[in-house]
Amino acid sequence: MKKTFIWLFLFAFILFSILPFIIVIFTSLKTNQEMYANVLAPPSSFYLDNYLFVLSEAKFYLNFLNSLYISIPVVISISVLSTLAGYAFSKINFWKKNILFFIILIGLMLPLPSIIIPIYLNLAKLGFLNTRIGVILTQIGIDLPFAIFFMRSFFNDVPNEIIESARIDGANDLQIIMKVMVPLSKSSLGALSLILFMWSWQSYIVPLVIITDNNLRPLTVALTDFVGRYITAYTYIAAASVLIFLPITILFIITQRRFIEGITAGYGK
Amino acid sequence: MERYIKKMKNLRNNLLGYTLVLPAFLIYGLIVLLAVFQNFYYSFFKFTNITSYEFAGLDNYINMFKDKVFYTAIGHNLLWAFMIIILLFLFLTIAVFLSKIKSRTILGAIYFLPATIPFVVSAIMWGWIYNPNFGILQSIADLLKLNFLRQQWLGDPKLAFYSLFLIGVWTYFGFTVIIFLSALQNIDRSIYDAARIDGATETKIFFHITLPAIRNTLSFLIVFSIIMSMKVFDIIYVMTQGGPGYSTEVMSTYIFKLAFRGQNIGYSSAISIILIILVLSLAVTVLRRNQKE
Repeated sequence: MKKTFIWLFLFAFILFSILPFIIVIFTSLKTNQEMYANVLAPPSSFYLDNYLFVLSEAKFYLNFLNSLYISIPVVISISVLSTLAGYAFSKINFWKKNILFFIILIGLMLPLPSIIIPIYLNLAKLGFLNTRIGVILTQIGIDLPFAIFFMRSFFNDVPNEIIESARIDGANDLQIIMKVMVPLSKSSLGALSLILFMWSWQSYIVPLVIITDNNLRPLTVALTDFVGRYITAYTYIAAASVLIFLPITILFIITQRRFIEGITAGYGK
Repeated sequence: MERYIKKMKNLRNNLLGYTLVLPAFLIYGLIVLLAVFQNFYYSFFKFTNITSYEFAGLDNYINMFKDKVFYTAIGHNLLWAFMIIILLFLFLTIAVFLSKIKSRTILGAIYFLPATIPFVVSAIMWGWIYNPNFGILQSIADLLKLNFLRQQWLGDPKLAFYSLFLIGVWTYFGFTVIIFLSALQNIDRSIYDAARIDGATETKIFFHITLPAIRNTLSFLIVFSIIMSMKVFDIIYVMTQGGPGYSTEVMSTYIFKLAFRGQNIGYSSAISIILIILVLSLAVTVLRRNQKE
């Protein structure tokens, strides 16, 4: 009896969580008439024309590539920068280290809309408006503080004896980072990369403000454009939405255990 | 000699520390910190357009305190924070229930799913659910003859804010459940067993063992939720842009619209500065608390 109640309670939240996904997937597989007849019903057949239309009409593959061209450099640069900085903040005692770390933590709290205006003006002066590099640099600056915080708390858990014994064996600090710390932090770095990839994939305001050329825009911005053009063609919009969340959702499902460990390690302390 | 070695070691550590931190700090500083200082600087100017501005002293700050929309927006941020904090206890209940069953990891992942997708996609999904013509809620209303579900969910100024809040809950609750769950799993099982042997009821166990044991996590999530609520932006901007009227306006949407639509950058920056001070002072409270422990 008690178990049933617990399951009913938990099941209600499962529905809350996934119902919007299911409806969009259903709609993306329906013809227009079918959708207007009943929004809730499952599709009667496996109708793929909506997907074919979106793929042919909207040049989504171009926007898909743009999302990758932005996300991958962001993930790689932040991973490298935050490993170096996280190691220093955790294992080396240098002058004014705590103040410096506090200044970095400030970056975690800043509301994006308030810094995006000066960033926009600065990029304009540098000629970086309407370029991918402008978006990449901005995204790196915004997500770095979390990554440094994350890597530092991971390195804090690595015992100092490991470093000392490597040093006795004659390793210098760069070698310690590359040959001892990086292999040790493989799973943390993996979780961090996933979180960072998800964030740059989701990113909307940054590319919206910085990029105006449709050929350079990532998926998220292209989607809002598409919605604007086909405002009443819900089955098309549904197919476009599925194409955008599917890569990230599949990635999440495959890696969910590690991903959630990463989230709890990053915030849970 | 010993002193000399110590001095050399210090020098070496400083050199090494700064070399490792510098690349990250430079990018962060030039992009993010610089923007904060510029915000502060702009907040003392009046902009006629994006390139021409003149010194205006404290005018922007004075105007802010006379601006009704500013108060409406800040009120919405506070209401959002208040409602999320109340709901944290519901999310904690979910986590407590999850900790009692075997498939907790999978369920946690399902609850977290909405947080993984781009919010522009969430906006489309929920736009559908709320659509007054053939939306999901309307269809459910038809099916089950529940007339109270027939509403202008996003069009009615009285409802729009709460409709958006529900989307906020949808994307946020999984995160809190996961964090609560990991805290619950760190509690020593033997304490529970001992309490049960002593004949304690489940309610008593919750209030006297579980709640004190996860006190730190709870206070972290309360402060984190307040900070999130002060920053809330994406979903509101995409779905209603603060409307109808100003019924869903929050500080971030107001800041964004003032700068990019009204080109009123000086005034927008002044509100930004107030928002940043608000969020930072909250955050410092958390950091202080963490440092004490």
